[in-house]
Amino acid sequence: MKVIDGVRLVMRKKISAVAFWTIILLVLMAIFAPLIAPYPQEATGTPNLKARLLPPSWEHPFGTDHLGRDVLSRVIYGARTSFVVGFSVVAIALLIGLPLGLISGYLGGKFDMIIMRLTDVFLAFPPLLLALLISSSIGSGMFNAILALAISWWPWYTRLVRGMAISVKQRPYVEAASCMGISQVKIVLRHVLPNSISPMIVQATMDVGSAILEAAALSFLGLGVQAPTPDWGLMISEGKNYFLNYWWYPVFPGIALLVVVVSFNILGDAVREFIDPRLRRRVI
Amino acid sequence: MNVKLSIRDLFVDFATPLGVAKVLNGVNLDVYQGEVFGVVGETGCGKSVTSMSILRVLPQNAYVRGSIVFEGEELLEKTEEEMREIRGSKISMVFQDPMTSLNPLFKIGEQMIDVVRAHRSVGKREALDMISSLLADVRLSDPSRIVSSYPHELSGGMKQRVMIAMALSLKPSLIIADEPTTALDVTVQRQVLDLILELQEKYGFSVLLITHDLGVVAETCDRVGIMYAGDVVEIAPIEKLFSNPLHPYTRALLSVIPDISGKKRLTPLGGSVPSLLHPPTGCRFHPRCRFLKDVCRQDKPILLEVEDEHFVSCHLYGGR
Amino acid sequence: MRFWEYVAYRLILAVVVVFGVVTIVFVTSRIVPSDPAALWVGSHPTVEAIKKARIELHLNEPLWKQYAYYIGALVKGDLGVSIRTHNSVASDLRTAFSATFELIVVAEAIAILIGVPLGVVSAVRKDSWVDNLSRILAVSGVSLPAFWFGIILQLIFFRYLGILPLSDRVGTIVLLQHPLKVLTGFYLLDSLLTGNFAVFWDALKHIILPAFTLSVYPIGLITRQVRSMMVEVLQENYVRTVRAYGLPERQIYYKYALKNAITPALISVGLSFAYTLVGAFLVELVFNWPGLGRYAANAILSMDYPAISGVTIVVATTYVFVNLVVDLIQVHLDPRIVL
Repeated sequence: MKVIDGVRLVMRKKISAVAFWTIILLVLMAIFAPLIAPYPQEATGTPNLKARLLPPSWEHPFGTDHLGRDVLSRVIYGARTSFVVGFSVVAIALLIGLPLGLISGYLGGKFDMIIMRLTDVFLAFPPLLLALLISSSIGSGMFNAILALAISWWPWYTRLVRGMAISVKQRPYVEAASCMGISQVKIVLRHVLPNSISPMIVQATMDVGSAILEAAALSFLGLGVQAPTPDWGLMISEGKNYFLNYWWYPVFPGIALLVVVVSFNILGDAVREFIDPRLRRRVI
Repeated sequence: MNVKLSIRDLFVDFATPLGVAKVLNGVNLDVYQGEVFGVVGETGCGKSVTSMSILRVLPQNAYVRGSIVFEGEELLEKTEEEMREIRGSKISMVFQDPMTSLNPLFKIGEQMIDVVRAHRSVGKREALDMISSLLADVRLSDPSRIVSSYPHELSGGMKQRVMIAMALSLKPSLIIADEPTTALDVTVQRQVLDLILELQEKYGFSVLLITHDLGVVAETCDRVGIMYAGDVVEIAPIEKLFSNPLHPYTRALLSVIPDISGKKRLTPLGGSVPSLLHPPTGCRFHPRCRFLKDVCRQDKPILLEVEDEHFVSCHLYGGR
Repeated sequence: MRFWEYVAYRLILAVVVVFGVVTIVFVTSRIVPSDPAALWVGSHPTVEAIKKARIELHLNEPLWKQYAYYIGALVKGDLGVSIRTHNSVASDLRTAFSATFELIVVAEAIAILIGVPLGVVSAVRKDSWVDNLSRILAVSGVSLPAFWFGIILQLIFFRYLGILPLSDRVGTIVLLQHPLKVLTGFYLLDSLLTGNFAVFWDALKHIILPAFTLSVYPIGLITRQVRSMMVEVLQENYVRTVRAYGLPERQIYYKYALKNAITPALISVGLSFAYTLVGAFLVELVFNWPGLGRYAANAILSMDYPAISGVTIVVATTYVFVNLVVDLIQVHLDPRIVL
């Protein structure tokens, strides 16, 4: 299953196509933030105390925050933070989890048992909790937040890949390969890996959205990204103190967050529908 | 001859992502009072769809037109609620695969009681008594054990008997048996078929028996209809069908039954079953027919009575 | 093996896992960059006080000994002492727990009451506008930042409509006028049991918004799960059978099909419980709800490691056992599973 098939299938349904383009658009927006945001310096922290807490207007479509900074610009820049964090967390978790899962599934035995117990323990924590715990000990900041989230994330991938590796391992062509004396490493890389990868792609896609959401939750609690870095969770947290009279402050970052996460979820759903019920679609 | 069920010009299309599948192409057949009418054909010829159309339990993407008259009433015009009353009580169905036809999470007794109580206002006790006597009818010993068992605790043969008992529970006048023995072992097949015949004699219902097995047909049916790619191509009483098959397809079917002497050569029928998305024009059998004429490509032949109770749909016999 | 043997086996496994959880918590509490002793003493730490604290907290001893003390204390139910409140963490948690628990239970109840029928209807009327609408709602529910949604609800119902209170569990004035006798710690239950309808009504008004905010995620999860399983189940032969036998629609869907579809839905309730548990943290902050979440949030802000560790252990353990219960129910419900 190639990436191009996935893209093609995503385009088939209107709603997943919309989600796909939304994400592309937002990523582009994040990359070109300095060119798009009307007040780039404010976004990165320069306050404008004369323009504090202004309601939405032509100059400030999303209003301004308690330091007078343009909320729209900060939301646009916030996309940068979110995407960087989201993709990093998933990437690191994959980097740790994939090899562990592959080896664990393929080798089996004692090694497998140890890894499985380890993942059991890690997975015993409800999703955000472990990240919270780690963050509170190692400190806040973007890098630490990424680390904390990645550490709480890798067990999922290990489990997933391990399951796939085990089923692939039992397939005839793998047996044949090892009978022919091909080295274990080659077998794993050439046969087991490519075939275990497709569910990972689905999972990883949806997980970027979840990672962004969890990172926002961390910043909301004060554990993630710190001020003055523009981050949606942080903005909602700050905005919470003013929202009764200045509603725009927390509302817009939240909308941005919602749009991003929904898009990732819709995308992930579409991809999953493709991989799974391929096997059971009944036409008549 | 009292006609129980009369199907005329039944067309069924299915809307699929790949296009419209024209599954039934104008099916015509009658089932008489108290007879066993067999419907024979290959997989995909539309036998099951025909039976499901009678009860109107086709999936949502099915489009039906034509006429199905049962005991003088047009079924295709009935409301859903009216159909619901008919299903299971006036017409009931025995499905092909007993292994999956019963809900694995419910006891047999509960499923059967619910069927009875869906159509009669009786208490659970009464329903249970009805069911127990029915289970005895289908030769299941120890009905009380069966009633409190889960489906996976029974064998395939036993489950099929349960399905037959369920089909009988409200004394229907027509039972549709859709390949009732296909999923069973050969010895069990025999028992189940005998059972159906016995019950039919005892209770007097008509049977629409669907199968792909000519042997089953020979042993159990009074009359037979042969279906091919959504058409009924021949209908005849059982002896006439075997002694004088008229339609080329029927002839081909019969010719592949091995002769016990081992001397006859088996001549397979060339070609393959047509696609229902793009069916052949005119007579749907024409691409595989040895007697092909021009008219066969253009006009679909009409089902005509060629001799007493023997109908054929073929241009060889004047199918206009 | 029989059911109860299996239960015992799973229980032992659960204990082992909890052990692992505790170990991880211990490890993370020891890699703290700042000095726990200094934090413990609080403001104006003198060298003397710190030294004393270090001895009290066993910080000078080798790591494995500290671990042993830790486990020993845990087994006795001692979760340490909060740096912030200087109460025993265990007692702090006890009061906070029932508040959070009440919130979660109400949220999950709302989620099931809305999610299950929505999923069923969605599956039965697949691809209709009802189905599409509920699918959009479900995806939104799963993607919604709960902490933000709570704020939105507050804006709508408190700020602009003025019909629901902003925060807290119960109004202080109401509580003063009609003092509540606390029996179970669940205000809704206690007020009903003691006939204190003023408090009941007020507590209800207070719990609606946070519970609903919290329920949005599980609603999304449950709706999707129920729908997806129902769609599969509806295609099964045994559903075709009951339909061909003229059973009334409601019975077909809500008795026969749903029971087969419900097990994965149960799993998602269990899964959603985890999110609800952690989501409660965020929602409690927004609504100033006096539960575990608010306690944990304050603990995090003041770097109160014993409290953070304590909360984590309690929450993780609860999660482990809830999952265990869900698993066991599932095994119990399906007569086909052979242990």
